[in-house]
Amino acid sequence: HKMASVKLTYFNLRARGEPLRLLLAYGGVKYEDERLSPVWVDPTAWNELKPQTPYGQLPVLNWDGTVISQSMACARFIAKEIGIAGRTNLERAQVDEIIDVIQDLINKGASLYFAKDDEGLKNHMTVTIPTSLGQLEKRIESRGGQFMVGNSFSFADLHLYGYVSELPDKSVLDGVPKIKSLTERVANLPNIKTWVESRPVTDM
Amino acid sequence: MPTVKLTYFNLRARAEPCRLLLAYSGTQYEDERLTAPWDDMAPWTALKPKTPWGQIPMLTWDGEVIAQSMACARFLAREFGLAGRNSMEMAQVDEIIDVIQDLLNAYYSLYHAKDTAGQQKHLETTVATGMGQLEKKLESRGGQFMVGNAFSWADLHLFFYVNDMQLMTNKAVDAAFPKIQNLVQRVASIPNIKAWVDSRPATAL
Repeated sequence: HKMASVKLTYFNLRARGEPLRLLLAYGGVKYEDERLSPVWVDPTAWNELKPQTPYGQLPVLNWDGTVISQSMACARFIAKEIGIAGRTNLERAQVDEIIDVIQDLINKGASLYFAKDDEGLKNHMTVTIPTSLGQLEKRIESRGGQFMVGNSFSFADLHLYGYVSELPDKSVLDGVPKIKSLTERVANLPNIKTWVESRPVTDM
Repeated sequence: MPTVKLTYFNLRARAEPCRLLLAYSGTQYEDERLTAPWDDMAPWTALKPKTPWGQIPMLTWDGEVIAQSMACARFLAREFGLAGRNSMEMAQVDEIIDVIQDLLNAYYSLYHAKDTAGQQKHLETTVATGMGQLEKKLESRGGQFMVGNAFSWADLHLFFYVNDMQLMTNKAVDAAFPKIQNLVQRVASIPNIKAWVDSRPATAL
């Protein structure tokens, strides 16, 4: 993968591009981090690019000339390339399970945010998220307490870190100490720390 | 769930690499400790003829006895998925283990010979050179882990070396090597490693 020519195209936002950027950072993969103006800032660049994308959406990943769409398909691909997708078929399923739980939370939150549903968002923050984190805490305990899958660092840990680091109110972590410890340990990985400290600062 | 017993003296020394691997994996095991021979020869004298090579540590894994500290450790590393993910990575892990063992064996020799001048020279020259080479290796591998940009027994054994040299000499052999220092700190903060180091018996060696 170090020899692959890689370009990630997304908006100048973290959002659905950031899981891929975290993976590429962890893997030490050199890539072109192409960023378009968000449509609410200036839609010109996206209007021009959109018809050239497979599904009229971003992110798209260009890996050695092959274009892959769908953020989670791209993420799983990169995770496999850099060796953190799970070491057996069962571990890969266990990793995918965690990814899907987190994606459900992200997608629900994004829906409520863009619908400007304040009541729904409040319920999401105070009920849904703590409940899910509690279930994830039980999962990590059942796996030995150090990592989400196979007692070994995987994309599941990185994706959970990415999600938790975006939470506006981190006090919710006080109820889930093993997850809290995990996210701190992921944050301390040199390539993650370097990326987070140096990436462009954006609203979302 | 295998039945596991590790037999050694009540020392860290040549059993601690195995104890760290077992701790990391969360495997339940019997941590059998004999009185150090310089405190009381009798327990070891009784056990010695029952060992394959007249030495300890010995690992008993589901009734099968394995001797030789590094054979035991490498076996555990494989069992717990830390030995390297392909043949090349396994060789790269073994290379790091062997470099560390060379340093450690040289120090143990000087320690048991009570050669304080030799120990000082060893720290200032051999160790400094060796750590510099390991730092370069870590950089060449991306700076996060010794092998394959993934946590392995190589990282755990480097932690063992730095931690144990600190306990034996009261010196931080990683002080001049920032990436190793960072790696050692990160290994130290792995929950099972932290819990073991905080709770293991305190012994001179």
